[in-house]
Amino acid sequence: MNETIIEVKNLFYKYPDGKQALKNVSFEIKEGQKVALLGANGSGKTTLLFCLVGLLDYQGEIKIFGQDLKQNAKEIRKKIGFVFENPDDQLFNLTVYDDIAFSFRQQGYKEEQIKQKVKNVLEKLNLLGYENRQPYHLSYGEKKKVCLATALVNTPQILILDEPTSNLDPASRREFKELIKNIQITQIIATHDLQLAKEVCDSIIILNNGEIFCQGVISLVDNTEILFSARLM
Amino acid sequence: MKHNFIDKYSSLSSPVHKIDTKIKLVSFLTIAIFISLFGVSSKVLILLLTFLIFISQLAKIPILFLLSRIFVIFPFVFLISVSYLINKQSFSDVLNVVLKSYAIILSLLILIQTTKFSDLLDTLKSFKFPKFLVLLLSFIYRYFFVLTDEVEKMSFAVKLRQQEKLSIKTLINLFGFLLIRSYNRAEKINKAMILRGWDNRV
Repeated sequence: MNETIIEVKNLFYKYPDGKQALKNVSFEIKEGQKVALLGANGSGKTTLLFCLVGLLDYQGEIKIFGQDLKQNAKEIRKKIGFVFENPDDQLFNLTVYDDIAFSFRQQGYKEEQIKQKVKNVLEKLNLLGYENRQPYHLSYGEKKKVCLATALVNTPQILILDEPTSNLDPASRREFKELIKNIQITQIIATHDLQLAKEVCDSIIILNNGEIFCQGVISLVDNTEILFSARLM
Repeated sequence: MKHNFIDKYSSLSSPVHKIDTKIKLVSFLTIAIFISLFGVSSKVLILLLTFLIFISQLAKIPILFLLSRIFVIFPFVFLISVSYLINKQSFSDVLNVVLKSYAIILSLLILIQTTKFSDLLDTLKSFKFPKFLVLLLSFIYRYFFVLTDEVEKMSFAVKLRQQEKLSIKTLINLFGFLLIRSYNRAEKINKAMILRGWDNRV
């Protein structure tokens, strides 16, 4: 039986303006699970993802790999890859190479090691030759792939993606879907793309107004009553 | 929109582009410091300007482009000239200041247009330039184009909804929105950096 690697208990989060974004959210994710996090706009998906990586000051308990997130955020983050919805928020270096190498440079790796790791991940994502390209001058689809590269280069054990296929054309969406489908690690994918959820994930969590509306197996995505109630259709 | 007005010609290939970035940077700094600190005659400055124009043509940088960029500092040079004249300095002193300003700007333009910005920053790092300033320059360059895009889109949105000229109130609102969006973006970028090991220390 796969062990539980993410445990969230009684999670609450309130924005500085007083809005209660997450209310009593509890769930568990086992190793190897691919979870689709669904919800209407403003339901709290991104907020939940930011809480899961310790970027927000939440109330409640989050344990990842058995460790309390608040006490061990820095160490836990080394095992998590995060892809932001907007690539311009994530790609902040002048070249693709520098963006992918960033986390290794923070950890003090030697440039020779970094070079090899960057090359490996670029090869994996069909991005060889993009090393010296400026992120700003890439197409949206290319930027998304580079974002994925920055998340995967550390060989994370958990991959978190926030709306990975939003604003992608159909071909890029298909390509990106295939890429994440072939990544065999625990994944949490916040998305409105029900097709993506069905093809990639094996379970879902649906948020509505900051609370868990329902959670379970991926086939729940075909339940129109649930989707309608959760404002997903 | 794709913008590249900062280092539009840095990807060209010319003998000047191929010169090591360290040599180009040291040359620029030498010219700038020497001109600023020492009395250099106008004749020498004219010779220097002629030499710099020759180098810029060797680097295949269009003259009109250079003139348009140099013209940007014209208001400041004009103000300095006026203040000199008001303080009863001679015309030759005013000319000297003008020639110095343009010589420094032209040498900076040549440096930027013949060097990839990322290479320039790497060279500054190797010269032990303060890390904070290098980081700041990197972010300014990286997000200047993003901000320009946002301003363009916002102004398109306004123009499509307003037939007359932009009012002062609209301009102020746009500026306020830009500040808010920039702040939000900066927060997200900070989050992205923290997630990749940044510990908020330079």
